[in-house]
This record gives sequence, structure tokens and C-alpha cells, in this order.
Amino acid sequence: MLTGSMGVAALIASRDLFASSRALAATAPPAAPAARHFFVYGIPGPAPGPNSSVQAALPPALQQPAPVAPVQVAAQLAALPVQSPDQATLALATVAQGSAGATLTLTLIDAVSAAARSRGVLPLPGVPADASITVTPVFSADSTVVALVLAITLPSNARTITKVNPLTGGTVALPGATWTSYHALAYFDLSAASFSGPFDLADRPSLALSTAAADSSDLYLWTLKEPAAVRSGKGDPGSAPVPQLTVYPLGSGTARLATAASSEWPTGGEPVVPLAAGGIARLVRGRDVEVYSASTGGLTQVTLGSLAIASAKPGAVSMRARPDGTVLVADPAIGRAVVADPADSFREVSVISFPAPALPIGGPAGKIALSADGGVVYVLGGAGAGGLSAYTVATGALTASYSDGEQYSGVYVLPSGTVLAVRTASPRLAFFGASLAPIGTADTDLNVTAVF
Amino acid sequence: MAGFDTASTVTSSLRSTSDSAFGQPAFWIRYFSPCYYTAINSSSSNANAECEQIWSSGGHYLGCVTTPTQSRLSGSSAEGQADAVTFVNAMISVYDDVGPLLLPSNGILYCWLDQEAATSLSLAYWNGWAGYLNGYEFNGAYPFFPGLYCNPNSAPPNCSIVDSASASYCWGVWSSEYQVCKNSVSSPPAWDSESCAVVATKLWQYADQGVCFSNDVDLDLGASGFNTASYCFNVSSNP
Repeated sequence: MLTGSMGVAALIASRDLFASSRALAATAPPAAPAARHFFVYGIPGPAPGPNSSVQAALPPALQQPAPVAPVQVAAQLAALPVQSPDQATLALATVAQGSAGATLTLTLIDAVSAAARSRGVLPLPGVPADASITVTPVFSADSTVVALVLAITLPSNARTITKVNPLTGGTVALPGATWTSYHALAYFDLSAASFSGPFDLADRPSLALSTAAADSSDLYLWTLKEPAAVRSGKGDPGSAPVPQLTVYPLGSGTARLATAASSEWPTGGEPVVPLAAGGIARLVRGRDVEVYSASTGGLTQVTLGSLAIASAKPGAVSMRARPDGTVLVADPAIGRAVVADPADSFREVSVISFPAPALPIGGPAGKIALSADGGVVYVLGGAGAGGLSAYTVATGALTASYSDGEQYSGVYVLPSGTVLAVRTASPRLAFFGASLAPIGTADTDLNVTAVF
Repeated sequence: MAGFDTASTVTSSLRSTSDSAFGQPAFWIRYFSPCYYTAINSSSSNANAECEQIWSSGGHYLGCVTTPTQSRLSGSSAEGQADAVTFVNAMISVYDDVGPLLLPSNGILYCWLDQEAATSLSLAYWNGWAGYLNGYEFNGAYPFFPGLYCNPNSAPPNCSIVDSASASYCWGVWSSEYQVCKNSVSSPPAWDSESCAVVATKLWQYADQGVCFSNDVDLDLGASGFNTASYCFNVSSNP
């Protein structure tokens, strides 16, 4: 469900905790006129309720500490929202299914107005009502095209099965079926506000999970044939399928390149970054960067030695491009972030060490945030002190910290430069200036999963 | 009976240092795709190498956990199902790759979904994920029994989902709390796990890396009457 504008959405109660900053506002210059909203994605709770939703609000600033009031933009989303590389647009996907087939709706939300700037409807004829459909929106690097990777999973041989409770000996009747997945592509051209596709990739049986990235001309798609369906069983490792990288010109369902990828299965969770120096970088195993040639699909691999530290617990590893063409790769579970230079074989340019936070994974995906100029990295405070810390990327030096004992679960830098930290309990949103001076807090009724 | 779980690959070094520090485990629980670090199924050679160490460790049983991208756990039924498909295929791939690896003799393989403390679980996702595992036929049986690893007392939805009458059957909770830091698997602490209202806690992670020690494993204890090793793959001989 998508609301047409913010005005018709439910208003979420917000606490006014900005009194301490109001004195600054009286003497501050007015804010820039085209302030961008930020968007909060999550689910209400704790009781089972509607699916994932998105709310929008204007961020506060030290000079303008207005109350923050997130309002609902959309609900019942089919996928995690995706922000365009220029941060001007948020892409939301919903899927409706019925006896006549399925319909995918892509809505593009303008970050300034928080209203829909464009919307496209893509019929998926012949897809039955009991199919499972996942959607992965991928913006082109120039933010002009949204590629949609669809995984369509069809049931057959539906039946009722029974299982025996291992402790009670009682039986439980459960639904069973055989499921088979394939992929399809579609493209939404923002300037024409129109879809092309869907293009059936005819790759059944495949795992529904895939990994995708795009530059300004091509879509890069990692997929894997379903091992359980194509392997011959025990003792024949040679029958194991190999992940494939397939490259499609944007707008096309015909591959211009297909090649074997590494053995790492695509899960949609590996960070993937188009490189300014050319090629696509994919981070696997939390420490190894695979670089695929855009022209040949050829693979080179580099291990980031500073991240090659064992851990019993997983961390939310991330990789993002910096404005100067280098990349920041971070693993909060081991308290490390590395700047590497793709133009120099991923040489480690700087290493930032910080105390591992209490929540290095889970909840909001953002465990580390980068300032717009790429010069400062914000991390969750250590498990003992909590709060937030800021480090200079070039030197790895701690430049600012804030701690009130709170164990934040996520940190983001909003387009305005305001730092947003997320808590798991109300008030869930805490705002800070670039130097981590607290601005105030606000609330949302969503358990926050991501912020854009 | 107590054992280890780890996101690291089970190497000779990890096995020997863990056994020395905590005693011989009754089982090892490892991460399968989708997960954030190296999955045991990342290659046939890796699966065999890890199972060789698990065999050598004495507690020659391999448990299964998966950590999908955590934001997806707030998502749709289709997203839950997609993650489950990869998890099942990862388990079957390791089973196929490691010759001496056997399914549990009781036909019940517990399969854990990792919901970290700050992650929100939606009912739709759980039903897609658990529904697929519950109904998956393998070798003429239905051996996959879905369970939830979580922090039951944390604020985001977890117990309220799997306890729901609308939830696909959850066969147990693996609780990450409380921490008691009794650093031994041969002499584990008295049972003191958090729990949900309806679904019983079957496994308890009682001592964690970073909280209790720096070794690259966490320590886990099965509930009374739940012999965890019996619900794991059996590395029946040295691969």
C-alpha cells in the first residue's frame, strides 16, 4: 500500500525533545530551501502485524532543531527500499497477486517532497496466485534506470505432511510442496516513466537468491543453479553447480556476457560496488574482494589482511565507495574499517580500529557511516561505553565521541549531514551534529530495519 | 551436553585451542549460506576440511545455523522462503560433499535461523522461511526442523512471532541469553536461559566470545531431555 502524499498518511506521535537546542536556532541562519527527507524502514511490533513499512521525516539540525515527525509513506512492501546513488530518489516495490496473474508496482519517492515522483505498473501474466515473488531493485550508477531482478518461485505437488515432535511423540500436520525458482528482469526508465520487460531468463531451477549491481550501462547478476535439483548426490562433487556472473545491457534481457564466478554463493547480502577505476567489486567472506572485469567478467581476488581476523560471531560487513574512488570496507564485529584503493590493487590506504560495539550485526543495517565527503567515519561506540564515535578516515584518529551509556543499534549520516543513531526502544531516533553534539530525539512506531 | 558454535571456519588451530580451553565439545554448530562470513558450504574442500576437524574434536556432530542479511527478516514471505531455499541447498551440498556425513538417525535435523538481538522478525518472513523447511522432502523424508536463535527478552519482535498461532511450526528456540561465563563445555552451568512463552528453549548459548573470553567460539548447552548432538549431522568417520 502506498500513500499518494504524506498528507494522507497516519501521523506518528513524536516527542519534542529539542528544547536544549532551541537557543541555537534563534541566532542561526535559515536552512537550505530544498531539504531532503530521510526515510525509516521497518515493521511495527511487537505483535504480528502488517508487513514492512516506510516513514519519512525532515531531519533536524543544530541550527534548526524542529521536532521530527515521521509520517507513513508506504506499507506492505515486497522488498527493502533502495536509494538512488544521487540520494534524490527512493524506490519502493509492491507485488499484488491474483487469479489473473501478478502485478508489480514500482514507486519512486522524491526525497525533497517525500511524495511519489513516478510510478510504474508491470503485469506478470501467468504467474499463479500461490507463487512466491521477490523483487530486487537496482539503480543504475547514473540514477536514470531502475533494474528489477525478479525471482519467481512456483509450487507443485502440494500436499499435507506429518512430522513427529521429538519430545512429545505427537504428530503435527504441515503443508508441503515442491518449489522451483527462475529469474526475470525488468527495467524502469525514469525519464520515460515506463517499463521494459519482463524478460524471462529461463534459468530454472535456480536459487531464488541472487546478487546484483549496475553501472551506467550494464546490470551484473550473480546466480546459482539449485544444487539439490541438479546434483547427482553423494560422492560426486563434480556435479555441483558453479555460480554464474551474467551481464545484461540495461534495458535488455539478452546477456552480453556470461561466465563462471567464484565458488561463493550469491545471497544478495554481499556488498557490491561499481568501481570508478572500472569493474565491479564484490566482498565475500567478510575480507576478500573479488573484482570482476566489466568487459570480460575476468576475476581477480584480493584479501584485505587487516580484516582477516577470526570471530565467533558474525558482523555486518559493508563496503562503500568514497568520493575519491577508494572504498571503505568495515567489519564492526572485529572493530576494523579499511580504506583500500582499487586503482592500486586494493592496497590498504588506511586502517581504522575501534572498540567492537555491543550490536555489530542485526537491526538497522547501518553499523558504520561515512560523511558525504568521505573524510569521517562514524561507528557505534564500544560494548562497554556505548554511544557513538567519529574517526578521521585518513589517519584513523578518533576525532569525536559521545556516550550516555546508550547502546545504539545503527548509525547513519543523513543527506543534511546530521548523524542519526537508532535505538531498539523508544525514543528510537537520536540526532547529532557532525561533531556528535546531541540535537534531540524523536520516535517512530517502527522497529527500525534501515534508514535512507 | 554442551558444545561450540562459531562463525569462523573450524581449523586445526581453532579446534585445538577451543578443546584446550573449554574441553571436548559434544557438537559444533556452523554457519551455512546465507551468512556473513565463510559458509561451511563455500566449497567441497572447505566442507571436508571443517568436518575433518569436527571429527577430530571428539564431538563429531555438526549443527546448522544460517544468518541471512538481517534486514530481510523484517520482510515478506517470499523473502523468507528464498533464504530458506539457499539454506536447505547449502545443507544438502555439505551432505553430498562430505562422504561420511550422515543425517541424524532419528530423522530430525534442527535448522536454526539467526535473529540477532536488534533484528525485527516479521510473521510473513518466518512463515516463508519455516514453512519451506518444514515441508521440504529429502531422501523420502522431511528431516528439516526449523528453530529460531534469538534473544527472547530483546525489544524487537521475536517470541511474539514464533509463539503466534499463525506461525509455521517452530520446533525450538536457541537463546543467546543469559550469559553466565562458565567457561567449560565439560562442566556447563545450571540451566538459566531466557525463554519465550510458548516455544520451548532447546539450546542455550551461555558463554560468548567478547563477553566471557576472547576465543573464537561460543559455548552452548542443550535443555534437559534435548541431546543436541542427536539433532545434528553425524560426521561418522574421518573424511
